[in-house]
Amino acid sequence: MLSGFLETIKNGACNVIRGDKVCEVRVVMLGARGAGKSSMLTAMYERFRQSKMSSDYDKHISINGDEATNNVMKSQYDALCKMANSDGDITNAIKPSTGERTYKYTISDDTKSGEDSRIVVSFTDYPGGWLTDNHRSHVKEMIKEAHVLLVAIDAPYLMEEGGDYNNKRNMSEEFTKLIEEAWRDSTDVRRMVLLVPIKCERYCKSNEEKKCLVRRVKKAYSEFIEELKDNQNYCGVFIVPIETTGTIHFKQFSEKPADGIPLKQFSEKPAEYIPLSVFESTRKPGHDGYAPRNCSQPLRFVFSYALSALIQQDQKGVRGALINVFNINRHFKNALQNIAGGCSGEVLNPMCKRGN
Amino acid sequence: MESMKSLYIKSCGESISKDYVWVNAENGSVGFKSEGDSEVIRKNDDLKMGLEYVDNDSSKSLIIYQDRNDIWLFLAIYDEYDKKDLAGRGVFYKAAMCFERVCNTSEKLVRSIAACWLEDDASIIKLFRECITFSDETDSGFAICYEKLMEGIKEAAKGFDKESAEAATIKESHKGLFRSGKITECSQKKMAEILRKEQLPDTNGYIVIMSSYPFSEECLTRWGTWLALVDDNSSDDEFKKAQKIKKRKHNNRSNRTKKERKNCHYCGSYHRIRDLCSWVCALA
Repeated sequence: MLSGFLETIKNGACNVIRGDKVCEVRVVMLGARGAGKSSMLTAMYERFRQSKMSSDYDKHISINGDEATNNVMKSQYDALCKMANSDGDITNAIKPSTGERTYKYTISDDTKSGEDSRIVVSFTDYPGGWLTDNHRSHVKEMIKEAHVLLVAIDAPYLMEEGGDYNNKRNMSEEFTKLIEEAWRDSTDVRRMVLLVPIKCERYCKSNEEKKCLVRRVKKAYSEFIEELKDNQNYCGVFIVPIETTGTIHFKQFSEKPADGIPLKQFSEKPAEYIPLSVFESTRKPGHDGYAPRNCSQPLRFVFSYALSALIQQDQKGVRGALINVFNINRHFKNALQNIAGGCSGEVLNPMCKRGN
Repeated sequence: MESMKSLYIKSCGESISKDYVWVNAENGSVGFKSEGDSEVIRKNDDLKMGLEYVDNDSSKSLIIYQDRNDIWLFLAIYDEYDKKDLAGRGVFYKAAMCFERVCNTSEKLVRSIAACWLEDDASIIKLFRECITFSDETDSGFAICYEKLMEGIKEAAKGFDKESAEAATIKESHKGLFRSGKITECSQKKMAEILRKEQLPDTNGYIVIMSSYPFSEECLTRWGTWLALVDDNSSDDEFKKAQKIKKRKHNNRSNRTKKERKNCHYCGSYHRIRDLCSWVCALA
């Protein structure tokens, strides 16, 4: 369990709501092309649904995706399962995103009705190449409006070859610059940033290895983390590694995918050269290859943030006093305790005012 | 093909920064702009949403969209066997063709290309593979051989029986023909047959849709769709089976936990090592 996370979240999540009414907690995915943003979203959604089954956060609280979200998540989940049960052949992976898409979840108190009994959490996914092409300004706008950033880090490029390919593959410098530009002038929203290493099954076999992964993230993204600390906004930064399949492990870098079709033939490797990562399956015969670990964690952080925002809103003014006296929002509070209580990750920058 | 106003292709390049973009096939400019083209789409959120789903998701999809001036034909396919992107995944090819609605031949052309796409997509996929290639020299990261592509599309349209196209009937009432289920070769052939025999209705909107996205009948009716073949996720037993197994496992686990959590007979509280502690309580 993450010590003090609840307090951290409580301090940070106010100001999500602008005005009086509950609106939306906006989560924006950030990560290079093919880093695994869509896979991360799918695995998170599926595992959170599973963990919800095993421990009711509060029986009066429901968290539901809209019809479109459920349908897309379901078909992507099928693709993820199919890949997990292949022999590390990632051509079966979730198909690349070719456009922007928003997935919406509603957290609602079933005992109440009306706008103030629910909050919408939206996740925006888009092609990773937009970070650098002519969509860059659009991505910047999305980041500017975001409350939570989920940064997908393709772990093998961080961990292998001394992390030489990390910047090229995960574009850490590029998005540091982008975030700095986007958040430079906006001071009225407190935000959360989750650094999520994915495809990290190979590096999470033991606690020691996991710690090593976290250290690498801290080191590689130190400039980014410092940037956020210096930012005028209040930013909580957490590292939350997830294993989207649990059984597909990084094997080696190669210039050719499994089927042998070369990406490109190089006589001399150009500066922008990035090798292809080749994976292998560790699935035991007769066992299900889909055995994800830790995948509900980012969603726990996000939903904790959203619930906290909702509760914060309920504390304003006379109405807030009444809500507190009669404990009207107790179901939200229970759910927050339970969801946030299950959070685990590395706190880099708690969400509180600098100097506090 | 004189009635074709514009042809756009969406695909990607090989390098990390060359992601999916629409490109005007004729002049190579990046973006999806043409006079009056997607004005209606921009104004209507429902239609925009519909297009986005099909644009994003389908393994193979087809849309015919009509507005006052134009007929749009959208085709999309995911090709996992030819080119690979930088993450080793297959590549999408999407085509958007805009025809002048006032022209008599447009309607027939659209139906013929659509029927060809449904019945035998191999020749069009082959055409895409040959005409759309990775290129470092373009802004989009891919190059399009426009002349060859247009020739290929003309060929595809020729394959359609001209006489039967002329003889296609207009139904008095264009009531929606919806079919949901697994999209198979057989269901696509049936759809192609309908497109051969019947003219497109004279209404605006997404009149023909084939998509792996499970649009509801209500949604299709709202869009004024005449002919639709959509995937039905609920018929996919694999997902349900997986959920059932997981639920059963979970129930077994929680039943077991409940059993193990039996409180001490003597002191009434719960002990982790039940037998030993209960024995201590009994002595106390």
